[in-house]
Parts: sequence; structure tokens; C-alpha cells
Amino acid sequence: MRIIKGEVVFTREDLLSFLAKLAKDLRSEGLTVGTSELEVTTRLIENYCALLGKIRAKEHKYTLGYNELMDLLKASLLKHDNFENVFEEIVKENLIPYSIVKTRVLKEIEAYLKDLGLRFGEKVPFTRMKKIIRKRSSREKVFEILSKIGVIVKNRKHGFYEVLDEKSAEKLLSKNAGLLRIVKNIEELANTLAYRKLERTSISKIYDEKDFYLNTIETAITCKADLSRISMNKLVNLSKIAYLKKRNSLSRKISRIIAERILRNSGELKDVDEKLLVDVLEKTGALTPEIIEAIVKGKPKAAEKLLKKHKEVVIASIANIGNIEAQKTIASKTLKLKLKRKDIEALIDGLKPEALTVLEKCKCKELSRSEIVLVKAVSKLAKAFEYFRKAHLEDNKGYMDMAYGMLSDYNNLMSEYTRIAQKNKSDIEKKILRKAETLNMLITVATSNRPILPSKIITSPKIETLSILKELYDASLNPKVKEKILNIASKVTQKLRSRIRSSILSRKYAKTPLRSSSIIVRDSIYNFLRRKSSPIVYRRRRKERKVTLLIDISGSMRTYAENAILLASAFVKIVDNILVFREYTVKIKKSTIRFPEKMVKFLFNLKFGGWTDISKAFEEAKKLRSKTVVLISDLKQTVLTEKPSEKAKELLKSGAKLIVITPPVYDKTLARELEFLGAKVVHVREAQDLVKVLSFIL
Amino acid sequence: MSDKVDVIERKVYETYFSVVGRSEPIRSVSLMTKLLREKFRLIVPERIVAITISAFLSSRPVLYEGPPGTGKTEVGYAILSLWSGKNAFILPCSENYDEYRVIGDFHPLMAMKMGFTEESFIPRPLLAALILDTGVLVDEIRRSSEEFQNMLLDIVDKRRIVVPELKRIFKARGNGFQVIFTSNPEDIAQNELSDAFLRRVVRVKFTYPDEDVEKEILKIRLGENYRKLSGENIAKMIASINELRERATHKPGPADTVAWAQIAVELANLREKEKVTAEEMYDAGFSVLLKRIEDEDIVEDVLTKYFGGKS
Repeated sequence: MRIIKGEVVFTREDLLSFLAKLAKDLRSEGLTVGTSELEVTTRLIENYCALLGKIRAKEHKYTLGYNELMDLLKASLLKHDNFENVFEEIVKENLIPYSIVKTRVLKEIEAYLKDLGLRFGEKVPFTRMKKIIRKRSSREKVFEILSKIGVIVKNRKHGFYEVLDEKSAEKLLSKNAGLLRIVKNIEELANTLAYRKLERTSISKIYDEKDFYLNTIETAITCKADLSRISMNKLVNLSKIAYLKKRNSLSRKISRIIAERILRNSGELKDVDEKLLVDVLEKTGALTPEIIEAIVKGKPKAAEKLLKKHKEVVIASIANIGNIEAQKTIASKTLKLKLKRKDIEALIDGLKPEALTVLEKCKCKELSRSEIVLVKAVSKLAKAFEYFRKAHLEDNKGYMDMAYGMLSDYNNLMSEYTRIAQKNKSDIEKKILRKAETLNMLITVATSNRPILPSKIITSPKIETLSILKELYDASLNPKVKEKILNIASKVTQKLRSRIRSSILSRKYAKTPLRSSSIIVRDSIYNFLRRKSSPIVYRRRRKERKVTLLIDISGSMRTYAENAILLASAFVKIVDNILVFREYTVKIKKSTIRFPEKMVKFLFNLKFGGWTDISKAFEEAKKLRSKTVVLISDLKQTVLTEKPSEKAKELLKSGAKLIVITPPVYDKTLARELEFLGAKVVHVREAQDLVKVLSFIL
Repeated sequence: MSDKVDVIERKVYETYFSVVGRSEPIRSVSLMTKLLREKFRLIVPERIVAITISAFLSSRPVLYEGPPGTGKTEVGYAILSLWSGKNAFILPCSENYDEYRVIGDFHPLMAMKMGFTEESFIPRPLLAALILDTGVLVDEIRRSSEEFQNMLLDIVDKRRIVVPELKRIFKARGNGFQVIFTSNPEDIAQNELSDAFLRRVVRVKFTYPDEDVEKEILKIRLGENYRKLSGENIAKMIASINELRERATHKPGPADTVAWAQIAVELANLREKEKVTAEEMYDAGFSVLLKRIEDEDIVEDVLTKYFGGKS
């Protein structure tokens, strides 16, 4: 088979030998191809060429576009989309052998060098190179292309540019063998290589060669390349460099990308320097209220920097922060500023009851006397709750005394408040009283022997309610209390489950009653004619599809895993198996997830942490022979055994469909590998988003 | 024996012939593509038509795979009808579909009286298609059971249907009897297709069309009404559809785009407006594009972004 100007030209014999070789390679990769399929493929390609007149009659040759041939081969030989990438690679290798491509690219590079008046292996001082480039305008582009490929290397130390010798250039191309076949021309090769370099390179190196990397990112943005593999930190630094270099339009473009990514997933901000981030976004005008909200959520530390100019937006964003400590930090910094009445109201609204301890620093002059007393009272109550928890968790009686001290302070302040409070309560008062009520209930649960849980928790529970209950369960020492909490938690679970199910599931899983419409008439008549005792035959409902859930319970996956198990329990009829794993894998019994009491007990006693062995989980999942395997994990394999991708390959080869759900921070290399093998990788921003994703899958 | 053939054939002709109709079978790719556009108002890439016809010529059934709303069923039906020159049969699959629903069944009372004979036999679409030499579109094959799929494959492979109760074998009479299956692999709440099944079919992938093609689809589907949509609204419409395809759980297909435009035009007519305004686009969009409750916020967000919310 020969490729002439993008068209594949071949005779019947060429096609047959090509297909035979292709089948052999496909089989060696585990893709089954039968002889009959080869026969059909041959006929299909011949018919296609005949139909569209793609035959050179004189030479008895067929001509087909490369993409057309690929489509035809996929249509008849590729059976699962899972293996599309592998399939394409093998076809390409058979169609365009690497050696031919390499020679062609090498010749092109030589021609480019000639254009610059250079040869392989030459060393050119900076000044001479400048002169060479200046001579003709087109030379600048040629120089850029060769530098991007890495044929011309800058030697800053000795002050010259070094052109690689032919052997090294060949080696360089061999390293990127896969890429050579995909790219359309040498320019695309250069851009892709430079872009890959940008992905890998450290930030300090970017500062060394600012123009090179700025040009690279500019081309990538213009070509609409996928920038998701470039870390947020790198983007922020690139935007800053562009701004410093007065390439304002580029800086704005990068900032826009940063802003979009923050909105999509604020968790990415974890490793970013908050000062730099705020600075860059502010200078490029990308700091909108939505972005500020997302930044505060993903990077609470940045709030301090934002507070001066965007106080109101930051206060409004506090409610979105999940971590109580982070809420406290931002709130206490906010309280140091001059605040108005409405700011205080918004702050109280956004803070979780447990975080209200910070209110003791509140010095707003616009509040009435009764409001000030109430604010102080609730801060004492929150403090009391904090001490109670510490007392239980650390088994420290000292904390218990402090807690009771705080409680008596709270009671004193509250009696003062009732004395001075007016009939019509202000909004601030109402809000504080509501939060105080919740705190009171939490304290009652944590301390008393007969906890009475707030009716609200049971009537309108949220997924977070379970986390609160779990905290209480951990905190309480009395076994009776523990039992009571378990009891309540199982009720909550039951409620949550039915709510999730009814809101999401449109299908009905109830057993269908035997109806006349489901009678199999023909078989029933058969039985009648044979005079069988119970002749009527009913159609049986088919069993639902098989799904196995693999849930990572390493420390970082805590909230995700808890939510996933709870959600899975709502779909108990479709989920066949739930496996939780860390360095070992445990299969949760069906009865455990079916009954809320057992499930809650399991959930509350689940020990998170330890090492992670994804390979083993895949191995176990394969044994269960499910049609769909859903993995919920951050893909961070910490046990050094066989590579997870190898096990995943085996799993996919067995015909299973693999869906991977990851939190915002995950191992991108493994995710890419799994995606390449044919797994579907879905990212969720928050643990709560699992509801959407899982309901779609299940 | 010839009398027996006549009974079944007579029943088939009596029941189905008026539905099937007759025209000239088409064998040319370019002509078929042209007719698909003019007669069926479908824009089908020539490559898809060519692969399908090549598969027919190679005696292989075709499997159309792709997300919902990309026109698999309509295209399949149109190609089969043009190929055989007779309207094709459509078999919408469900999990309890079996051979008696597609090949033929026995009338219960008559069977009780006469046993399993030609008289008590009721021919169904697949057998009718074989006898009438026309195509069959098996829609959403993944909803059917594995036994049903295997039964179909055997028929397609050997181009004959066996009815053991009648001790009869019906054979295909010409090239008109071809089968196209459709399936949506992304809908994972269905059965998987077996390897044996996939080995026997030629797979053709359907994807969402690009912007220009989608505009063209709107143009030929809306006909005169297309003029009522401003260029700006169409561009915004396609942009919002593309955004929903990225963000929403239910991904709208070109069929949804067309339905959206049609309803917006009808709304404008009802409100006695000459041109469709953002208000109609918003209202119609909300009712057409919102298919899952969890997408409510996303749909609202996208529509507000492009059409400025409900006024």
C-alpha cells in the first residue's frame, strides 16, 4: 500500500496482505479478528471503491482517502469503542511505517536548516544567528519551528545556538514516533512538541525562556489546543510573565482561561500562590464576583488578599466553604475590618453554627445592645460545642470543664438578652437564634445519655447531616448514645435514600404483577394442547444490568467515598457489588447495603486512610464479571505492585465497561492511561455532584 | 406445497402490501444522497451512504451507533426504503421482544381449533419484509435480549426464516431484504451487544453534526419557517445547543434543535409576531431542552446566557 498525496493507493493483493498483517497485529494486542471478518472487510472496501469510482481502471488499483480507509476498517473490524485508540495506532503503524515518516521529516528539517544557511551539528553564536534571522522575514518562523522541535538548542552558558547533529536529530524524532504519524506538517509537529515541553517544564525554566514559552502558549490558544494538562500554577505564572513583558492581550487571554477553569473547578487552586493569582486576575480585569466566589471556595487563603477591595463578595462567598476552620479564618479576618450591619448579617448567615466562635471578636457599632449580647452568647455556645467535641475526642476532662464554663457564660448572656430584648426581633437576632438552636441540639446529642435530635435533621436531612451524625458518633463515649445516634442515622439514611431514588430514578423497579398482556400466547397454547396442569406462561422481567462499584477509601477520598456508598445503597437493585478498597479490598455484603441500620453501622465504622492498591481492586472486579465497573478514586496508586493500567486493560478486554469518577485532584497520568485504554473518566467538583453522575450511570 | 406458500404470501400481501408501496430501487451513492436530502429532508454524509450500500453489497447488516437525536433511525429507514424501492419496516425493540412478535404468531383461538397451521398463522413484519423483499430497521437493538439478537443474526446471515411449527423455510428473493440496526452505546442502562453480534455487523458511527451542517438541517427541516428565525437567533441557538452537549446530562441532538426551532416559530405565530424573538426562543427552549430534572439549572443558565432570561 502506498500513500500518495494523502491518498492510499493499492491493488487487491496489497489490500489482502495489508489486512493479513493488520489482523496479526490486532490479535497480538488481544483484539479478536476472524478470517471471515477479513473477507468481509475486503469486500466492503472493494465495493466502496467501486461505488464511488475510486478505481484506476488501467492500473487495476484502488485509491482511497486515508480517513476513508480508517473509517471502513473501523466499521468492519473494530468491535468496541474502548479499543479505538489502540486500533488506530496499529492501523497507522501498518499503513505508514515509522521509518518512512521519519526520513520524510528529517529531510524537511534539513531543508529548513538550508533555508537558514545552516548544517547539522553546527554551532552558531547568538549575534550571528540574529543576523541570519534578520536577513529575511520568513527566517524568523523557520528558526522558531526548529527551536520548538528541539533541533536548534540555545546554549546560554557559552553564548551560542547549537544545531543537533543528524544522529541526535534522528534520536529526537524516534522519541516522538507516535506523534510523527499524527501531525499534518512540520509546523504542527513543532507546536505540539513545544506544547508538550511546556506541560513538562518547571516554572523556573519558563522564567529562563520567557519568549519561547509565551509564543508556545499563544499558538496553543490560537489553535484552540486542549490546555487542561497545563497546571493552574503554570498558567498563572505565564499570565504574569505576559503582563510583565507587556503582551497584554496574551495575558488577558490566559487570565480568561484561568477564570474559566476556576469556575469549572475551584479545587485546582490548591497549589497556586494566592497573592500571585489575585494580582494577575486583578491586573487583567478578570476578577468578577463569580470568580471571587470560586476563588474563596477553592482557596480560602486568598480571601485575605481579596477582602480589601471585594469585601462584600467575599462575605457572601463564605457559605460555600466546606471547611469550618477555613470559614473561621476568613471570618476572623473579615471581622478586623470596619463592617456595616448588613455585612454582619451576611456573615452570620454564611457561617456554619460551629464556626460562630469567631463572633466574639465582633465590634460593629451599628448593632443594638441586645444584638451585641446575642452575638456574644452564640459565640460562647459555639465555643462550648467545640470544647465538648475536644473533650470527647481527646478524652480530656479539662476541656469538659471549660465547656461547662462556656455554657454557663452563654446562659448568663441569654438571660441578659431576654431582659433587654424587644418584642420585634431584628433579622440578625432571628438568624442567630436559629443557629443557636442547632448548636444547642448538637450539644445535647453529644453530651446527654438520651439524646433528642432536632426534628429538622430527621424531617429534612441533607447528605451533610450524616457527616454531622458521624462526628457525633465518634465524639460520644456512651454506648447507649452511640446506639441512639446509629438509630437516628439509619432513619436519616432511609429518608435520604428514598429521596434520592424518587428524585432521580424514573424507572420502576417494583416487580410487575402477572398480567394478561405478558402472557406468551404461543407457549401457553402449546401447553394447552399438551394438557399441562398449569399451561399459562408469563413473560419474565429481565434482570437489570450488572454494575460493580469500586470505592477508594484512602484518606483523601473520605467524603466522596461516604457519599458514594450512601448513593449506591439507593440503587441497591442495580448495583450488584460494592467493593471498598485501600491496600486490601472488601466486598460489602448486599444485606449490609440493603438495610439502613447495617449500612450506617458499616459507614460509621469504616476506617479511612492507609495505602491504595487500585490494581487489586481491578483484579477483584474482574472476577465478579460485571458488565459495568464504576471506579470512584483519586487514582493515586501507592502500593507498588503491577501497574493499574495493566489490570484495567485485562478488565476491559473481558468486555466490561469502565467508568472512572475522580475528585478535582487526581493522578492525571493514570487517568490519561485509562482513558487511552477506553475507560470513561468523569471528574466531579464536589462530593454532592456524585448524585448526578452516579444517577446517570446507574 | 405451492398452495401452502400462497396462504402465507397472500396474508402478507393483504396485510402489508399497501403499507410498503413501490418505487425504483436506488443503487447509486450520489443519487441516494441527493434523494435523501430532497425526498426525506436528511443531510447524510456521502461516506455513510457509501459504507451502508457497500455493506449491503457484501451481504452484511449495518449497525448505526451514536447518541440520541442524531438521526440514526430516520437515516436508516430512508436508506433502506430507497435501496429496496419499498418502504422499510421498523421494529422498535424492547426487552421482551421475541421471534413471535417479529416473524409470526398463531392466533390463539384458531390454534386451539386447528392446531399450528398456515390458517392460524399471523405473519409479522420480519417475515413480511423477507417475502416482500424490503428492508427492516431494527431500532434500539440493545434493548432486546441476547437470544433475540442471535435469532436476528441467523436470519440476516442465511437470509431465510424457518418456522418449525409449519415445517416451512422462507427464503429471501432478492437484494431488497437488508437489515440496519440502531443503538446508542452511551445509554448504559441497556444490554450490551455480544461479540458474536458485533463480528457480524458493519458499524457506522453517528456523531453530532458541526455548526454548518446543523444550520443546513434547520433550513431544510423548517422550510418556509426558517425565514422567521434571525441569523443571530440561529447562531445563539446552535451555540447554546453545543454548550448543553458539553454540560448537561441529557445531551440534545439535532432533532431537539429542530423541535426547538419549530416550537419557537409556532409560539411566535400564536403571539402574532412576524419574527421569532428571544422570548419565544427562551420559552420553547425550556420546554424542549429540559429532559432531566437535574439539568434544570444548566438549561436555565444557558438559555439566560444566550436569550437573556424570561422577560
